[in-house]
Amino acid sequence: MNFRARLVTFFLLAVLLPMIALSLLIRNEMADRLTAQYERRVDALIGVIENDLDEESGAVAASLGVLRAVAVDDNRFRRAAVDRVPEERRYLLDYAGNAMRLSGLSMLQIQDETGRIISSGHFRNEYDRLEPALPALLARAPGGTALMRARAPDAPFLALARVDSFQMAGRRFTIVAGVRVERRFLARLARGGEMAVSLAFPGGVLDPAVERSGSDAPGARAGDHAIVRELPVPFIDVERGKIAEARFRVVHSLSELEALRGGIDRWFLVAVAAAAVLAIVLVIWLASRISRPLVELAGKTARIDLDRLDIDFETDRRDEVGALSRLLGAMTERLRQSAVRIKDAERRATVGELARQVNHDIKNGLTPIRNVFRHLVQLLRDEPARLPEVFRERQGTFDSSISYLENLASNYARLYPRSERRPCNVNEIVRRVVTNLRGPEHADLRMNLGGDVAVLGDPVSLRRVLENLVGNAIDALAARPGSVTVSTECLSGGGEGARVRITVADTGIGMSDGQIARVFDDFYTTKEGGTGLGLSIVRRLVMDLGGTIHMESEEGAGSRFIIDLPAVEGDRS
Amino acid sequence: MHKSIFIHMVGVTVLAALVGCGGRQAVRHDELLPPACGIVSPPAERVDTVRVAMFDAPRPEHAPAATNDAERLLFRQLYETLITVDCLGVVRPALAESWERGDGGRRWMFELRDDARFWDGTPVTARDVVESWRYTALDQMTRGSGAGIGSMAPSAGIDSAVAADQRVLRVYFARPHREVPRALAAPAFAVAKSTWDSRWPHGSGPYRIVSSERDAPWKPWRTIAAHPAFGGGGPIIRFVTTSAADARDLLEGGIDLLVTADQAVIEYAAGQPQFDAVPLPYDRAYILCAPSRVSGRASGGAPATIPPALSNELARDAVRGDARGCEPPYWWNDLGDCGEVSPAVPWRPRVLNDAYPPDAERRILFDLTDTVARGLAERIVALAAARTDASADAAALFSALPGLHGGESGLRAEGVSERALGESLLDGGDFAYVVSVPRRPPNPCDAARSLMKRARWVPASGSDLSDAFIPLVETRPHVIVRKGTIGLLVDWSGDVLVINGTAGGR
Repeated sequence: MNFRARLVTFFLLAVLLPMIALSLLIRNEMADRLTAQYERRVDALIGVIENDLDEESGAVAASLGVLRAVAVDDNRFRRAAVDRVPEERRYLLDYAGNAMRLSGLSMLQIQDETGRIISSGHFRNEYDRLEPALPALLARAPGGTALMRARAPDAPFLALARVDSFQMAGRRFTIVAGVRVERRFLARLARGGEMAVSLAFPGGVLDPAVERSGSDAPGARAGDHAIVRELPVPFIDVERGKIAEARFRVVHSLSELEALRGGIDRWFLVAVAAAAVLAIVLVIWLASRISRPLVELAGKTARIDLDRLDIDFETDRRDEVGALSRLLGAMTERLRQSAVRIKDAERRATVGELARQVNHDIKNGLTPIRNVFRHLVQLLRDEPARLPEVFRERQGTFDSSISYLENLASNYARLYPRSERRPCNVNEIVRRVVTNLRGPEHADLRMNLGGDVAVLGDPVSLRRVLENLVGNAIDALAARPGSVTVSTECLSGGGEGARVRITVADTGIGMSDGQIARVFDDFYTTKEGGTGLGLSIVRRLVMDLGGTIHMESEEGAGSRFIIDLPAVEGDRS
Repeated sequence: MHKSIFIHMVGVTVLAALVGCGGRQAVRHDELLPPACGIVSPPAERVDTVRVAMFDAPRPEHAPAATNDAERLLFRQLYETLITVDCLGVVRPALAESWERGDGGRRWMFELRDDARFWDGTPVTARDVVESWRYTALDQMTRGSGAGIGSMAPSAGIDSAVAADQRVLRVYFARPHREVPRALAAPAFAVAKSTWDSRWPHGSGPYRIVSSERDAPWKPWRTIAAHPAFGGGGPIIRFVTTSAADARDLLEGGIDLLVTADQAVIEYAAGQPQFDAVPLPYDRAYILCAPSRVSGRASGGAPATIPPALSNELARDAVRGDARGCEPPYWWNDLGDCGEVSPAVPWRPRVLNDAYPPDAERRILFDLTDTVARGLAERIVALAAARTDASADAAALFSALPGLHGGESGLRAEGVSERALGESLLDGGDFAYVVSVPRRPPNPCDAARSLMKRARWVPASGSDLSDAFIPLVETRPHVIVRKGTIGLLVDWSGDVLVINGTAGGR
């Protein structure tokens, strides 16, 4: 993550998190206040509903009082109910219906002391039915008012009923009166609009919303309604002879509250989003403004090189970035001066290295000549007669060494030795090198040559490679008797073409793992007076020939240099 | 209340002769009526105008076959049948002054009254009678209530009718009759003649239509003025058609006569010194039609009936009006002389289920305008809600009405429109029905056929329809008449006849 990204992240966290937290706090506070206000409003409406229920009950009680007084004063009623005058029976049967209509009630039945219905307003022809349990249960109902299921010719209905009684000629009559509790009643209680009132009673649910939705299934109310209060009311279960419980459920639509909450949430979301977008833009702009000079400094710094130290770090800024820029400018100036010194040292080192290279190459060319010359001097001293013979034998060595030196001189003359690439016989070169380097008594130079193999390359380079390796191998014998074996073989290529493997193995002192790791490095040597360039040059030459070189060595047991070169297919010259 | 009021008034000019049935007998118009049929004495002094209340709107295109109570009232005043049947069941001459039985009772020859005239003065001929019957039959067929001349024939058992000459009409019946067929006294066999210059067909009755007009644009009633047809001395009758007014208001507003079963109106009139409230014969029988009784019979059970005590209790307490318990026998108990009574219709009664589905909605349907039927249906529901051992009435009802007890859904009484009631009754799709039928129809066979047309599920075989029906109560209306205005007679069908003491003849 770069500096600018970190800067942006930091600023965003530093700005957005507090802002979102603050927004959530404000939103929750507003929602809580809204809910509290809503609950107070619901409580007030529920109070109105409770009051309405009380008023309904009171109205029924008042009607009962009036009906009781009227019935006691009614002589026709007395004749029909007490004296059972047949001519007045029809009047008695119609009495409750007329009284019910006059008093605005929905149900009214008058029963004698045995519980026999002598007149029913809501079910006129239910006369003579025995129902003593109903007045008794109603009288026991808490508050004197209870819900009951009133029978009717078409369908039973729920009624909020009360009971009263009166004495007539020593007989006791009870009056059960009530108002119908149906959907309109519940809707009236709810006073329309916000509230809704349903009724749950043993065996069913009466819900005005169900009628509107066309479903009779309980719980068909829409999901955004919630029961906010339940008002218990006694329920007379005449069949079971007990008082159960029904509940007026005050249901309120939460849609308005949810809409308000949703509105608050939406506007807060919009505000937070807008603030966040603004903050992000500002943060990005600020981060860009802060990081731009650093990025510019980084760009300038990235362009610094030993060959290019003219970068201008001058600035007018007085801040930390300006100081940093000026420090970088000073550092660049110091680098510029150091680079001059380094180039001078490099030049000198290059000349030295070149001198050592020339020295090394000339020595390699002179070594065979010196060996032959010593041999001839030895013959001249010991066996002068064989001098011509041996001279003839070793004349080729002179010629080739001189030719080598001439080529070397030509190459150095061109400063850069360009290799000549042509097919060359590896075995022939090996023989010549081994022959040229044979001399020390303790070194047993051996050849294990495979069939004729040829590689494409400069024979001089190959010879330089082999002379270096064989010479190093002889040196590794450290004046102790040992052998140096040069092997060649042709490897069939597995998809890469045929290769020629040249192995130079000695039985010398070997190398440690640390030495092996650095053996091809420039200027690394284990020999006293060595330049450390021999094996480095060997590696470069092998690479120029398109081959590879690696070594295996065991301390005290000897070393093996293995060279793989691409073979020339079909040309064995 | 208004629907339940019906008024039948026939201006009787001459009920001249007491006629025995069979053989050629002359009828004299000045013969006295049986005293028992005179329910209100004629006034001592002549009254110019009598105002009669009607609660339906008569339509000229229906004449002479009435389709409602108001038309029956008016048409019986305007049009005549060959014969009439008085309140004691005695056949009396009307348009025909005599008749003769022939061909073992299959052929009846009617001789028209010599002075029978249409309103325009043209004599009524036997051909007019045949044409009128054909027209009425075709009209009924187009209205869906009949089946043409060939249809009228089955309804009255008539094969054909032929005009032998100007005054002699031969009527051939499908089966022999020992006495003159009373079906010919039915309103459907009234005689009328259409003319191009009058909306109302001409009749031969004692009254003729003079005007038919709305009293005032803002008034809801229409008045039809009927004058004595042939210059007789009877009063002018103004038939006031209204459907909105309380009958008591009408009485106070000058109405002289109306017929009602509304107990409140009856009691009101009885308490007014200027009115007489006279009960008419029990003319309607309310029956409970229960398909489950037919199912029970099919499964081998013998349907019971309700005891007289329950019937009396229903009449006394459950019905608001003048009712009494059933007094069998009824015309549907003995249809042995009717032959095949199943209607000649292409459909047959559907096969009823063995038992009424226990989870089906069980309704007792009734015409929502019929307060008597409502009271009876509600009382049955009330008794059904009780246990079988709650009372003897409940036990009797449970015994008479299979399927009344139990069931998943409660039994309820439901008032429906007359059309809906008819549609449901047709196939017996509901648990039971409370309907009314004429207690004394002119022709029980025709009444049985009509009833079976209304209820296709009623068994077609047998001579007793009580398998499907339970008679509940009988009711009667009261005629309320302003004292000193008119005299009243009543005939076999319970129709009220107006007698003007000064208009003893036509």
